Amino acid sequence: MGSLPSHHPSVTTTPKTNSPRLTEHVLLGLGGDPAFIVDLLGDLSEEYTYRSTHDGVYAARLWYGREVVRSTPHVVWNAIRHGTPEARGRLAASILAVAVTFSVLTVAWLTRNGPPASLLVDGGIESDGIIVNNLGPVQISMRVLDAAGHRLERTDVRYQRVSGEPIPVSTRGVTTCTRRGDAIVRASLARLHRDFVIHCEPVQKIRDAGWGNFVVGDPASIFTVDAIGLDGQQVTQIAARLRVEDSTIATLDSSGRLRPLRSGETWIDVEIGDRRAGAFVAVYEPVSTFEGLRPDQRLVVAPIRLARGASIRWPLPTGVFFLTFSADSSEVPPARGFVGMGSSSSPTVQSPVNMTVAGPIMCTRMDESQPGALGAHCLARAPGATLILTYSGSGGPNEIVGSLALERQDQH
Amino acid sequence: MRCSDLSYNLRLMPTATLGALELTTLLAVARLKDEAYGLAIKRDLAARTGRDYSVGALYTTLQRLEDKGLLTSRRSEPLPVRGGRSRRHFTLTGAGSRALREAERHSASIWAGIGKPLRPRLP
Repeated sequence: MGSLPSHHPSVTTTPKTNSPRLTEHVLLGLGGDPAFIVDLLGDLSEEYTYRSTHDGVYAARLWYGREVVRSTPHVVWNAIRHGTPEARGRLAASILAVAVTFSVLTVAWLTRNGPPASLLVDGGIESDGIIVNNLGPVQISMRVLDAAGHRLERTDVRYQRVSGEPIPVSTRGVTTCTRRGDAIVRASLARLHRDFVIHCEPVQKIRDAGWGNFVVGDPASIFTVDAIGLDGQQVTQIAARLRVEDSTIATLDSSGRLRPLRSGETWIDVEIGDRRAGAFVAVYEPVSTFEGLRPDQRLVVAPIRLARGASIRWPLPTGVFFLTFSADSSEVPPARGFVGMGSSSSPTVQSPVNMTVAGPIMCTRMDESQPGALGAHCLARAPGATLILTYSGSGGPNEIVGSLALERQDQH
Repeated sequence: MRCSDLSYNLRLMPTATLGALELTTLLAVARLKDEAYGLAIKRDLAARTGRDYSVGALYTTLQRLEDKGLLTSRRSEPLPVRGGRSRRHFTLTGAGSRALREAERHSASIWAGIGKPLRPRLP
């Protein structure tokens, strides 16, 4: 097989610039094999000259750059193989410097800020505006973004009320809601404009946020609060800040749904406008009976199902605790009449559901917190205390379904 | 069929093996004879295999073949032009020639018994 004809058997090998000499010096300093470096740079220079003559300087430069990039790993490997320890150190330092420079430039490029491109309402829970529940002055703020979505720190946004309720809005964006209503406000920055709605819903007070009993494993449920406006009516649009004191017991998601996680008690701070309130949350551990409760089981609840005329007898733990029976059905008449003193007990009033205790235990009936509920505060001094729950009424359904909760008060 | 598609791992010497690029480079040197210098070999490989190997990859391979004793090289006189440089010309050694013959035999042996329909057309 004969040899292929050469493109330019007697090519003129004029160096591109003086840079090959410098490049050669640098590469030799980094430990490259002299023959390898000289041949490689020589070929690059020769081909560059040929290509710049035939294809033009631009195409030749493009080829040269591409070839340098493609050959770099081989040059590095050659320098690693042939270099002295000192040269390898210089090579490592050079690679590190190049890598760091490249990383810094890349990060700087990606995070560079451009001119303002859009204005967004900051802190609004709606896309078209914000809800103001404060009675006092509130600073409106806008997010200024560039085209890449980077947030820009700009304080020169100007505001002006356009229409709607005549609420005062300063050019700096301070507004005071003295009445219920909506106003459209325009934010401006240079040539950028953004119209948005201020929903004025000043809250005068937060009605008792109440409390809630939950059971571990229950699905998440909406946490509700009642906020009252200046006109005495309920406020329908609320921008509330909720914070759970112990988020290992329960959590609140962004849509205000509370999810019980483990048994225990915690507190929820509620902040609406410039008003604050709190809510108590108890999460109970589900059990089938109160028998054999461990000392660390402080909040437990058991399901109750009683046919007419039936009763259950459960042993109770020692110590101080609350007992609460709650019927699930509204058809069940309120459970009334409970007392248990000393070693004997008896219902005080005829009721379809009777809760009594026996043994070394003393209980005091608590006020009903809700219809169909029956509560007692008990002290069991020694083991042997028993709870007796009886459904003996003649009216109502044939069976009652409910739950019995036990909440320990003493420290274990 | 492209030569680079073949993967030869022949044990030529106790410490040397021959890869696909090494084999095609050896063949190019054998073909180019007195004109076997870097750029000429690069063009020959591109023309015959369709692959444009970088200058760095080519010289790494040439250096490896020289280390294995399959090639030897000599420097030419500087070219008679302004700034002319000397080229390094490569020549097949006896071991290199034996390696090529061995590769050919090996190729023939591994294709032996394969019917014509399955056998690719060699260029």
